[in-house]
Amino acid sequence: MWEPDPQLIERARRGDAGAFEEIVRGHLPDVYRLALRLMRNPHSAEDVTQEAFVRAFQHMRTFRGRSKFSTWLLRITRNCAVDAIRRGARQESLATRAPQLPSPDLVTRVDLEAALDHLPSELREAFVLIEVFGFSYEETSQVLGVPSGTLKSRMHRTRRLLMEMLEESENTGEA
Amino acid sequence: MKHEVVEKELSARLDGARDTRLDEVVEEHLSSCDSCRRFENRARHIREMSRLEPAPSVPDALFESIVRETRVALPKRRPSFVPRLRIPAVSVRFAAAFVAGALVSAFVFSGSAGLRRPSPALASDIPQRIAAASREVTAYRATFEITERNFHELVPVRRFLTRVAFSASEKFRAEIEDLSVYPSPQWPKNSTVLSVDEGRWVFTGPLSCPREGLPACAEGGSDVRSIEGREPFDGDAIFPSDIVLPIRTLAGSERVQVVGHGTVLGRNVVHVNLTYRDAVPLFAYLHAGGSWRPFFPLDPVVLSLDEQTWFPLAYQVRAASSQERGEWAARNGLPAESSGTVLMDAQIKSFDEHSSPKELALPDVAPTRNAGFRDVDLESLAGRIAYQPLFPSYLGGLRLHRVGHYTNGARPKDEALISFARGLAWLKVRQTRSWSEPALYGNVGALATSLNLPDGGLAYYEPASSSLGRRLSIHAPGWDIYLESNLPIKELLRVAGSLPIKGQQAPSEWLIRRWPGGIVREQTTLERARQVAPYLLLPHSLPSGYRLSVVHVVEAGGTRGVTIYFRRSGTELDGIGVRLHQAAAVGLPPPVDPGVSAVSVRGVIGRYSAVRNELEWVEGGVYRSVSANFLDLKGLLRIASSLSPGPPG
Repeated sequence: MWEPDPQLIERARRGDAGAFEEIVRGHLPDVYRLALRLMRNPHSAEDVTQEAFVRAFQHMRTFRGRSKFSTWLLRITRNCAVDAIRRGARQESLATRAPQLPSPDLVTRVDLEAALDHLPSELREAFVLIEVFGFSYEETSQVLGVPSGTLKSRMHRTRRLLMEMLEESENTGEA
Repeated sequence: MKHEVVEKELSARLDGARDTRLDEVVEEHLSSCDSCRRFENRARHIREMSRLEPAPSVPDALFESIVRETRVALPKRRPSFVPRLRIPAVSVRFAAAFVAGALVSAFVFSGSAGLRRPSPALASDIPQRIAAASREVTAYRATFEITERNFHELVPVRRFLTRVAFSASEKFRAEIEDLSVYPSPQWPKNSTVLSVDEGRWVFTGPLSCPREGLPACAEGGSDVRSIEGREPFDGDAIFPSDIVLPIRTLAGSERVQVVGHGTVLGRNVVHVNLTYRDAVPLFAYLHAGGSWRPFFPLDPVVLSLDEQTWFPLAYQVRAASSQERGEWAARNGLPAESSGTVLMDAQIKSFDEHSSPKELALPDVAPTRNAGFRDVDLESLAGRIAYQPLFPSYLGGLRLHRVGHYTNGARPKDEALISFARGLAWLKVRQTRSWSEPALYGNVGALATSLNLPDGGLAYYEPASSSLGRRLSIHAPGWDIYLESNLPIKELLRVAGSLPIKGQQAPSEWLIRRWPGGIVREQTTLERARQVAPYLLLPHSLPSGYRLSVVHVVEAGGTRGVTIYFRRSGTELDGIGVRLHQAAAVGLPPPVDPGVSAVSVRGVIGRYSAVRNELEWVEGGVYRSVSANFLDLKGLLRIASSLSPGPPG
């Protein structure tokens, strides 16, 4: 994942809109991707992405560099998504969206999306950050604010649940 | 040990959190427990499915919207990217033109009080509105004043008056009058005329020689190119109509970035920002001949579009800022051009929706080349090709335009070409029943993507390039059909789906290219490519609008590698997009060009070629390269750093 250099962050911290624009450009794909994963609706994901960047811009001065900038930004994104869901923002299943890659495993991936839809949100967000984004437990812990040990248990539980749901879909022919 | 404890440890290991104290007991347990081994395999499979997912395309308007909102979030701060306006020391009349351009840029970028804020909805509507407007333009004439900077160190500013005229659907004339003052009469005036009248295409201008060699290389004389037998909307004998309506420039999907609103000639305009590489079709009427200064592909262009007609009323090219831009300028004999310097400014002086035959008259010159196309009546076509040609039942409102065939033996004898047009929108359908080449029919090549048509048939698609429209090749029993058009992709697919044949997969031998050094297997799947190259990485950050397009397996010199192309769906002006190549290797091959520099990429030292816009490195015994001629080093590094390991093979 892209990390802005410290000088760029410092310029943005001082309110340099041009520097922040560069940061937006660099992080937009990841922030939008996480928002889409959490919201499962492109329109809500756009709103969450925009809100996350605006909130990050307003709070740049509070970023002290104790974590990676990307981790800090994704934490804001996740919080914006949680707020949006609380406000009743529309979510939908990504499983119904057309996949983009030609693949013999297409059906399995669609099944996986459908299974992810049924996961509790605390399991899904850990799964997305670790499995899709490739984050470590430590980084995920900083984004979600939960201990690494909890994440270890959540990932095991998530994998077990997904396997059971995928197995069921294989047996019944539906996800 | 309990299964649950082992599974939890296996799960953590997959996430890179191994507890080495458990190594021995976990291995021992796994050796005798099918259930835990199955858990591990299934967990890996789930990871494979999760990480194969391509990054979603970020909507273009989103970036613009975020930047605007962050500006609003700090209303008292002056945005640091407002360009400072500087008037260079030039003569008063040039200064006046420059000030006019600077004023445009001031309200484009400043967002000052009293100006309407751009609407994201409008940004997403513009391509559709331009596509709709293209069908309604029947005639046009306009006069532009153009100021060009840094053509030559002895000619820092040039000024032109251009007169453009158009009549539907294939008559066009652009006359460029050079008003510049040159140091001596030895310098050739860059006055040119480009005319198109259906089958005729004529260009007249000065004999050009390298800009840096002027005035010594100027020999006098004229460059006269006159073509007859031109096929409808031929990409080789260009019909540069984007200056009338920027269909090719802006009608590609997800391309429009609105940066403000204002007025030009008292008319409301919307200012659209794009890079020069995307705006190339807008300059085609100038660059058909003569001598012009070059622009860097990432130089920003602000295009001001009339909100009623969508005609371009002004456009301005500025200098981009990057180290590569500076190196490019030095290579091209240009002075250092600081970020934001206005390089070309074009302002409309008058326009209306009329034109006269006199304004569109072709220069009186004899043809220098016959391209071989002959127009015939539709009624006589079937007799000449010995079959009844196929017609789409849906034409998107276009009408029959020109019909004909080639007479020079360069094409199949039974090939028919039928074109349709309305205003500036066009479509041509080429067909044959005797195609025998081992390749897709028409101007569709190795980068074509197979897709399904609305009728369920298969077609091979390529986006528009700088000289060709959007293209489809259809292979069906007894028929090969090629469609090319500037219609939006959805419309083109609908037209193709209305043909009375059903396309099928091309023979597999058509998708294998052999050359003395090896073989390229085209149109393979990502999964098959991963079997060839288990080390394959995929980017999770791509420029907006870019998606995985095609995957090739390359076999050369006893090794196999994988090349993946990422392209935009509507328009890819250079015809290539982003290219990612990966192959097993122990070191970098010798550089192809001398101007390479060492760069740090993914923790190793790689090299960057500014000439080829390519970043190459070797990591873990794998050679990887990323290239895209529209990206600078920073953009290439962003893609390289986003590459993620594929799932285990």
